[in-house]
Amino acid sequence: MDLQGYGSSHIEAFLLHYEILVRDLADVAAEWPTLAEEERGHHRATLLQTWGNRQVLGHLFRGGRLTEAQQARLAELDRLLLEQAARMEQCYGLELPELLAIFRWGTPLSQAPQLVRIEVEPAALDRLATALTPAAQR
Amino acid sequence: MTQVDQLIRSLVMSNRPATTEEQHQVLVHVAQAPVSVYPVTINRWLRQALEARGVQVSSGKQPAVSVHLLKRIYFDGQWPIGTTVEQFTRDLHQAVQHPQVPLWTYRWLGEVCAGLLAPSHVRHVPHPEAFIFVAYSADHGTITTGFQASGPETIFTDAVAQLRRQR
Repeated sequence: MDLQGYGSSHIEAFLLHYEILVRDLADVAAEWPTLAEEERGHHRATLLQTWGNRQVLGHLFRGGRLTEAQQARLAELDRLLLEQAARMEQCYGLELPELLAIFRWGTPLSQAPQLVRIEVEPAALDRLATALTPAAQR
Repeated sequence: MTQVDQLIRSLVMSNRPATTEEQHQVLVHVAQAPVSVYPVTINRWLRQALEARGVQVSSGKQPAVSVHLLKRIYFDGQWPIGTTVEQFTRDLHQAVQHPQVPLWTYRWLGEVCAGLLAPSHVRHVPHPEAFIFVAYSADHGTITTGFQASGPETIFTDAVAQLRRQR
């Protein structure tokens, strides 16, 4: 991925989209059961851009392009994302292993000393265990 | 569901390449498709972020296209202040009509979609990118979003399923 064209304004915009995703997620999840399919589609369309941006942010972080303040903000947003893994699955069908892509892309959260508390349904852990089992043992 | 929407669904489900004629059908269809105007809630943080940029939004639901346009203007700097929904829609349709526009079919969170990425003609803005991406939902028969992007690798993550470049 060519990162040369990305400046601080890009990073701030990407962080803003991401912040709106994770901070509005509780409200979106509360509404989700009553939302029309069209409105759910709107949220999915929004997430396409936001999740793509999150991937770019990971590369920019690995490339040393985020300021300390931007790194701290990204770590906090990543923490909020993981803490709401159950809501991400409820609304978007993205399961915990898919959210953990942020660690492949790059996240300052991997260097944070604080614990991350993730609430997931037991069924999600079951799928996660299957995904982590070596293919030969399945 | 229109014949072209069924075609897009068929291409995604079978993961087969589209013929040249089928590519043409999809491009013509998306170039005339409406952008979603379904009323959507503007949640608290989005509202606050817009207000912080001097944009007051009424408390009721807003058409989805208006919400996307506000973000493109005030968050991304990708469209000029004052752009109307009609102009935004024209820009997305114009992008789709670019003679070299690549076409992808894919499934995004269960929704069957076509995506097109044309060289951007919206250049006199704070943060222009090389391309305009247009996402079309065959499930809803509407363009669901459009934004500027530097390339497909910044849009399509691993979470995009059955992704196939058709053109």
